[in-house]
Amino acid sequence: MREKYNIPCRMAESGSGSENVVRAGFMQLADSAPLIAAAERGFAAEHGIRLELVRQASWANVRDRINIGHLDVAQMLAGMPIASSLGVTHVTVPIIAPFAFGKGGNAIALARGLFDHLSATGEDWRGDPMAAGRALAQVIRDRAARGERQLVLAMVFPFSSHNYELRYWLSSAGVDPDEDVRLVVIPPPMMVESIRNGQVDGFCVGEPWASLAVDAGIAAIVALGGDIWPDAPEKVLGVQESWARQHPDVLGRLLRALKRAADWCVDPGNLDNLIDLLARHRNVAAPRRILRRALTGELIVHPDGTMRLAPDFLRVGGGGLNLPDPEGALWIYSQMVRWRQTIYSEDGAAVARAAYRPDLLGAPVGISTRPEPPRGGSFIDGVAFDPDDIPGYLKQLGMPAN
Amino acid sequence: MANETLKVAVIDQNPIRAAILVDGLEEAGEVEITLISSTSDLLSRIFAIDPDVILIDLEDHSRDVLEQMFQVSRDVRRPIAMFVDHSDKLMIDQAVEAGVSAYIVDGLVKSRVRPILDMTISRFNAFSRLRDELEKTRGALEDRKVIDRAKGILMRTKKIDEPAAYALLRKTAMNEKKKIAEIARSVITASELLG
Repeated sequence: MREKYNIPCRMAESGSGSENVVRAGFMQLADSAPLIAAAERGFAAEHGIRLELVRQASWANVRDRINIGHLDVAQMLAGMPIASSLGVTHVTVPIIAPFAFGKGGNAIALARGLFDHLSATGEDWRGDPMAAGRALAQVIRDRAARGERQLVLAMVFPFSSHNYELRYWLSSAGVDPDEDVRLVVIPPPMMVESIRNGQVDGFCVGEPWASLAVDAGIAAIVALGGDIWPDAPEKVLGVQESWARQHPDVLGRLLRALKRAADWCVDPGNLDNLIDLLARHRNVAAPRRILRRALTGELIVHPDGTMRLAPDFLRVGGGGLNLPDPEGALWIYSQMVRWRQTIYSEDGAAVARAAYRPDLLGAPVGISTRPEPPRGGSFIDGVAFDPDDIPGYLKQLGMPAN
Repeated sequence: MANETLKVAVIDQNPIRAAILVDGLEEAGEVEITLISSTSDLLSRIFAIDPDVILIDLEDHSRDVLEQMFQVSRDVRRPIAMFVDHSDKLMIDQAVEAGVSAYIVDGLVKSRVRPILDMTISRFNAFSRLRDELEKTRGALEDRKVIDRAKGILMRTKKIDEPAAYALLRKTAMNEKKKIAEIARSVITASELLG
């Protein structure tokens, strides 16, 4: 049976605006849930929108298709609207993020062959992300002393929270991510194969890909994105700023539909339906039991079956989670500066902050535009982020002032 | 570097299309082409080749791997994506329609890239036309087989000759506003169900 997108027909003209077609790009990831639910559970249709989902092969494609108008909106990595608005890659295309697809969902996993080396350091690294970092740092130093090749670690895109989380974790353990290891980009669907064939020694990736690698018996999860910073922005809805200006009504209705869909996704009563929806071949196309791990936070972190309960591992909605947090955008910007993707300026910080637009969703649906739950999550190394003094913050993280 | 040979890397998992493209680029002359079909360790291969132009299937996962090369890093020359440059929207649209993405080294004169990109777009389009035709032909062959089988079933069960069997299929198809092959498929299904 060939599945087609089942877009519910609109009810007879009810006078609430006309139906609009919105083409949305998404990637094969668990946190595309609100977008998929909005299209397939009728939330978009209820708001007079025909949401056409188009699965994308790469983040580069997402960016290009948004830039030339092939897609109206797309699931994007937290850093993409910021990088595009700043013109970090060559050309400046102002892109805004009026909706956040929640937080979390990333995991750092290491290849099976590395576990023994980690244990040999004497660190009790299991279940302790900080100790795992120290053990890895020791392994990296030992390898260098013996003249062995550098470890290769993968993430999914230069402007991904994965990149910034992995780098943060490494540097908090005393590893220089640009000098002591080789960081490479591997698309999520190729992650499992890359670790299987020894191309990479570890990675930071969103679900379901880390769990699939554990399930295949070839990797163990040593840290979650939330261990590094629970409030890190993850995926957002990216829209060209000009498109948003030309279609305020459509965008408003789409955001309300996405919010309803996200609320539906986090209702425990809908878990089985949500898993079925994501498992479909045209969506995330992963086994249900693997998707269940991510969505419940009942993770299996080691091929030997060791579990880790992290109820907040992946939160796609609820409360103010779908409000893009401008302070989170500033943190992403600080990391772009830290890793020399861009040079700090007050104007740059202002552009980054302005790319995240909680006002477009918050006011219309009557939710406070203050991100909730209140920020309480601290960083793995205890350093506090100061959005009002990024240069000072970066100095604290050991970045030399230039 | 006005008249130096341009180094072009072609990344395409489809060997037939890649061959068609390489063939066209060679005719364009003054280019040195390296074909990369495996995605394993793409970055180091690209560094080794040090191309002026990278042509890649738009839908290739490896585009994200290439994106890393934009970063300020230890690399000397930085390729940039064609599609983030809005200076020639028509060309960009044509390239996307054809399904190809191009990365060019920063600073390379556009006029040198243009013929290469024109060639790539036309070859990619030619390939997809070829593929469509192939699928049509394959479909027609399939239909032929299905209709023959259905005729055989009708001849056996209804004790009629071949022209009559075909006429029956055609008449039913006209009445039901369907293709003959569709009716033939339902005849086969029915006969499989009814044994």
